[in-house]
Amino acid sequence: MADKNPNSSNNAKGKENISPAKRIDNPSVPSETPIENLVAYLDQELSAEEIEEVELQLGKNPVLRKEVNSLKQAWDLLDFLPLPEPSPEFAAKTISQSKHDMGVEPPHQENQEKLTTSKLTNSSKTSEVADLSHATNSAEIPTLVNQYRSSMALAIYKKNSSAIIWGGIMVIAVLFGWIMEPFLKSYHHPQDNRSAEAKKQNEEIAFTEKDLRLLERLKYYRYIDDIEFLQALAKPELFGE
Amino acid sequence: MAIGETSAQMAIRDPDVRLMLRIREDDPKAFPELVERYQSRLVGVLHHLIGNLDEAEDLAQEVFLRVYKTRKNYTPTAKFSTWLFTIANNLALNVLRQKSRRPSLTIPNSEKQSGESSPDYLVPSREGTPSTALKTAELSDRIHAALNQLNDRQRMAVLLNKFEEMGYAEIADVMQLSIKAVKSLLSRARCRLRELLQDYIAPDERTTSASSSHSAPSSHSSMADSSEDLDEES
Repeated sequence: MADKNPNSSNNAKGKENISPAKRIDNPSVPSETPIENLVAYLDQELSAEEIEEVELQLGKNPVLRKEVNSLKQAWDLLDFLPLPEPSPEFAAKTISQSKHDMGVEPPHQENQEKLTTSKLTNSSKTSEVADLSHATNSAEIPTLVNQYRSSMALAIYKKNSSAIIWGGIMVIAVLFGWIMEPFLKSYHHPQDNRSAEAKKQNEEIAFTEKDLRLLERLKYYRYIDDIEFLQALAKPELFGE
Repeated sequence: MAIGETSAQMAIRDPDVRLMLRIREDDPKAFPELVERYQSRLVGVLHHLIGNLDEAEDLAQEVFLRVYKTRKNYTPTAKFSTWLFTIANNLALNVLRQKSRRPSLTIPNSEKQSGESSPDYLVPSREGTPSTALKTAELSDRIHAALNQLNDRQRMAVLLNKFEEMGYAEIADVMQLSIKAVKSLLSRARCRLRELLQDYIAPDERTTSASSSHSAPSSHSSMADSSEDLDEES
């Protein structure tokens, strides 16, 4: 790497106030130029005015020229410093680590084809599943795979939740049927009702007949004080009609 | 710079920014391209900063993973390399801080390492200029050892300036310092390097200031540099 050209003036920087403490700490160098400015001069980091000032000093002062040259030589020695190359597997290791850290598996060509095919054949899922017809651009594949997975998970969840709802409805229906069974039975068999009414009517008739007989014989019963005797009179087998 | 042109528009012209935008859009070819493009530069700088190739690779991998993880939040506001090396600088300085808190005993297992740790590693050549006397490999070892004598921030500034050819303003961005602090940091670093590599500089160019300070214990100088840098930063 070649050293930068100190004569260039198109890299002007703003002038800075340099404290006297920063000036060259060497009595043998009768210069007003601080060493920071000499280094900045070599690095082309001075303004045009500062360059002019430094060059004026360098022209007058051989000790300062030595100073600049020694700084430049020491800097140039760094060119002998080799920049070590990374190991051959460094790039592959870094790239695989990045995929591992992000939890993204690179989709294989087969998977890509499968996904694309599934999109084309199953048009009913277009609203839920990621648009895989654009999967020709391999950049989109990891995103599309994730979208596909999430949409499939959503579909399975939806499917399961509707099954649970339908199951609940069935259970409620069975319970309702069990509770309503007697009512429904009577509603669906009206002849049973009629027979019950007839039976009741017969009972009433029978009761009336019994009362009638009691009323007819009331004049006899009125003089009887004993209830047991009275009950015995009601028995036709003992006293006849 | 054109009138009304924003830094974002300038950044868009940076091909690396455009590459990073592709990574943000999950282009699977973009991240490997970025790793391929920057791995040598990043590992190289980190190796000289940390001093160990395995650790430098681990750190460089961490930098790339940070870039990848934060890709969705990436906004092109500066040169991409500035952003990348800012992440690298922060991670590396953290690692170096942790290492300095828990100093580990390293047993030199090669002649190279023992040479680096030797106190008299800068043995002057008897055969004229160092470039002709020493083999390139040996010279690079000595220079590497000299670089390791700088404090962490000086070393980072030197590496960014020398190998990444960054200007003071860009180094200031990466290291979160003022331009003035970077100027001072680099000035001290270069004086220190000149001091440490005095024997490899042509004799007629040697300065009395550098020669007089050459005999000073390096650890003291390094510590002084560190404290001065901290003062400048504050």
